[in-house]
Amino acid sequence: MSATDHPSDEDLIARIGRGDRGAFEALYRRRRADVYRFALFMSGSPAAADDATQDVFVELIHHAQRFRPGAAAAVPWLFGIARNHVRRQRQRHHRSVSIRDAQAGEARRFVVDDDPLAGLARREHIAALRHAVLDLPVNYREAIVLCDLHELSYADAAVALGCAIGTVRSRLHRGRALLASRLRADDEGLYPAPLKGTP
Amino acid sequence: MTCASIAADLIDLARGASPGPVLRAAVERHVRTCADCAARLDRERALSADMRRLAGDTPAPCVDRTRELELLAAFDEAWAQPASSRKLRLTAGGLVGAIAAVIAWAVVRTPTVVPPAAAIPRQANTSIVTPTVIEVMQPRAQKPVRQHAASVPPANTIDPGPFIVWPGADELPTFESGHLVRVHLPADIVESIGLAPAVDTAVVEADILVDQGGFARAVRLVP
Repeated sequence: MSATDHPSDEDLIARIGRGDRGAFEALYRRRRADVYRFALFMSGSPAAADDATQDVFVELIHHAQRFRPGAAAAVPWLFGIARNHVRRQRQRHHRSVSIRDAQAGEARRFVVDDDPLAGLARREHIAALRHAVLDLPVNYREAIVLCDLHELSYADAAVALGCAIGTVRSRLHRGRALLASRLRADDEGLYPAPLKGTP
Repeated sequence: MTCASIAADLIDLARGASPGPVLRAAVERHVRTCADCAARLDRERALSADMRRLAGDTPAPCVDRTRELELLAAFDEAWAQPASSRKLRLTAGGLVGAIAAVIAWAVVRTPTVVPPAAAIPRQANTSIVTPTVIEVMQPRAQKPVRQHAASVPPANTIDPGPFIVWPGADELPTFESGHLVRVHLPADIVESIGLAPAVDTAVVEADILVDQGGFARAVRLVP
């Protein structure tokens, strides 16, 4: 498959900056879910995530030229835009609707397991983890969502968050320690106990 | 190497974010001899595995063709504008803001309605001819800014050109009321907006429609 058949995100953004409607449509379809999931974990609300996703692509229409391919990859750049929109939403509304119960319901409806008890335990475990992630302070949650859920490198996450790589690493580690401590009550012994000096 | 000193590297190792071959080898060597760190590594790996499951378990957005069409319409609208307007919007946002702020300042200083532009003596050496302010009210039925700007009564003795929507004005709140402010603008800015000065000059005179919030909405050249 050639680069023309499957252009990179960076190529698509460059073409969007030149008014290529097809490139915009392609990037939207390729990255909409990523942006939505990031916004969902940061806002805690499907509706807010949907709005933020739309806002990200509207901003892309007007500011695609601001993207500098050598300075950042496309996905972290889009996440950075999404982060700003979610933060603005949070400032406007000060509260959000939880996705926890709704998503637990979705899982119950659509997941079928060979071992129902094990499946139930696993789903409850993942639901507890989601709950704990959503309860993290924003700075730690951003690092967890970008690095652990979206598997961005520290460098890419630093681009999205507009901070130093060391800051991302530190926030991620502290976030994981917080997660572990909050989950320990539910899953005794499964998650790491904090070392001395970690929260 | 102590347990505390490798704590962060242990997490990187568990996540698959390699800390580099040398450090990785050192951490693995330590883990082989330290039961606590070995157990901690296992727990961090379990957490990473659960995070991957959580990522896979997170729902994708509903496929909403309407929202996609809205975006494509916004794209078409944005690219239907003159290239010069887009360029100004993308590269000279600060300049536009500064001009709008200056205009707003001028409006605040001169809140009263004054006679049409032609009756006002021009001040060639000032960037804003502050006395030229005309009250403009938006009718109750909301109209697009472009239509409204075109409906501004022309001055009695001059025939000014058509109004052009000020770059970025489409995104502002609904126009309710405003003023016309006569200013001197650099010709290259005027050209980049899409207006063509009649004579080759560095500075041109223009009327700017300023809204209730002090933001520029439309501009036209003064003949």
